[in-house]
Amino acid sequence: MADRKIFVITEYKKNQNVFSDLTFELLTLAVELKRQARENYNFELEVCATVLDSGIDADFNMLAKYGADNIFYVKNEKLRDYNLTYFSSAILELIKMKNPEIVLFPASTVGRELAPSVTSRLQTGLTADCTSCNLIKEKDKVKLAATRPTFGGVLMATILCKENPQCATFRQGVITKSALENYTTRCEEIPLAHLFETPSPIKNVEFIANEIKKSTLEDAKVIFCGGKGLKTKENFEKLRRLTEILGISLAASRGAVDLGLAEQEIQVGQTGKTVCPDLYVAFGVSGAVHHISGMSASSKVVAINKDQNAPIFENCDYKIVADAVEIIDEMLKKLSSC
Amino acid sequence: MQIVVCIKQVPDTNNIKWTKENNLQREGMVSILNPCDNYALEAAFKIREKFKNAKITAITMGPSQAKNVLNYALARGCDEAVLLCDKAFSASDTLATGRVISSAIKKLFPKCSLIICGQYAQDGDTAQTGPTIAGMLDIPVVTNVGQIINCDIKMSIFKQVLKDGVNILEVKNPSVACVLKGDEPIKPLYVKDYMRSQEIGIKEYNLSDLELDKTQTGILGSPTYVFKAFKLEHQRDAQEIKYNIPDFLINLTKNGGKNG
Repeated sequence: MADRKIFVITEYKKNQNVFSDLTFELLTLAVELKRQARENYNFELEVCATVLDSGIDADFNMLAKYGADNIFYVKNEKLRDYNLTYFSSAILELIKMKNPEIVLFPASTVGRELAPSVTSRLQTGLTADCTSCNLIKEKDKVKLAATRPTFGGVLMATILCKENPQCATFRQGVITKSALENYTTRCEEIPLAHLFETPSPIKNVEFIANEIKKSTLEDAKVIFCGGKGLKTKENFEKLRRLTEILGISLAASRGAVDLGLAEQEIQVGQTGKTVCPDLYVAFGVSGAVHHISGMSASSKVVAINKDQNAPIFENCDYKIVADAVEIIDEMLKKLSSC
Repeated sequence: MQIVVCIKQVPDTNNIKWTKENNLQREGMVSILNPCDNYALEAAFKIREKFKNAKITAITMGPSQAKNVLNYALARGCDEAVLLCDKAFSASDTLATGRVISSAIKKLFPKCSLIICGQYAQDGDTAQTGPTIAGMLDIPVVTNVGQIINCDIKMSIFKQVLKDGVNILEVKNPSVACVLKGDEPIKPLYVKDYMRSQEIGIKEYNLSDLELDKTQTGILGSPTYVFKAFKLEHQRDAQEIKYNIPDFLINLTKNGGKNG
């Protein structure tokens, strides 16, 4: 069979006129699965990118550069802004038309509601927030084996799906994107106008942009993260002041957020953000796997914890057995005196 | 107006104990109401403050131990509690779970205006069950809801919290809202609340009550299955720092992680 397909659902950042990094990461992953199919199982997988929009100037060449053999482009005025009803019905229709074996979705806010909206209508499975995936042979069939943290991130589970398409979502930062040297692509525009005739039951009334965002945690170079070990809001605020003085980013573990020490917006871990800074310093974070899964891509990790058996010490480059609050106090004192 | 709140009992993964060998200690693990779901309940109560005739039903799928969270939901102020319990439901993945819950809603609350779920469950954290229920019922869903601004029989207005701002959405009911964990503290409960919960009691429904077939639920009805489970591998060798810690950290920060 020549045209076995893998779909990558792309994300387009309208305001910047580019595809998201996660789009290229998913394409890189699809290319790797294509390689495994060819080398290990002797069949060809065609990497197909789906693009939904009202007409964009983005460089489709970029999708080709990261491995899209084929681009399926649904162009309609109704797709100008994201609308779950329109987007999910377009993807659903593309899947029914082209019959891919595997579909990779971005685990962005949008992707995380889009993916289950599509898979539930297809009555197929979806493995969310995967950290890796491979092709394996199971009962004579080549299957997508998708691995994700589970049980609050305490364990990793590899999930298989009996039905096609086998669907998975990935978060930004767990795959390193890599461009191809030689590439060709075909772009096919697919008119699906009939899907957009009925008005969507969801209406965008207003979008209120956040005030000037300093920098996002996902892009931060240095992150100090406070955990449950900081105990009080006052202590957490000290850490906040320290990050402000040093001009770096602040994060919190789920334990700290659940205790009400910090806002959920800055939570790192399985139920929060996935980060990959050059330096990650964990202050009073115990280091349950659900936390590790959100920061394991950091280049250097420093852990400060009173408990010398804290699991975080198994996942750090520098181990400091001390009271994190005392260290914060000492650092603040040093920095204010110089 | 009927509102259904989907809740889940989860192990308290914040208080996980580890054995000396660094394994998960399953004994004595405590179950709690999934933290997001507390805010799903709260969102429903806020609607009832405006629309006094709104009836709030908490629903969960699980073994009979899951009655604990339903009793809690009743004590918090729900008007009704429903347990979907059958051996055939166990080991359901998100698709099969969505199928059971959506079948129950279709059968028991055909006139339901709004279904509220927590954004994600603390244990599985797939954030899929809400959108899956909506997909199965073929009704709209909005995730990452920070606030339900208004809700009546015909329409809901949701505030959706996104990375770069907030979205105000007007959605035709019936719809599904997946709400985020809020910041406000959850009010403590008193004995009288639990007494009220006892008086109301929990309604139970099984596979045949929902007119489902056992090939549609549990392992048979789940397209996904766990191929293997394992502990995360550790890839770092820790070097212990004992002296001049503040200087070490300040330098490391200034050098972007490079020591020296």
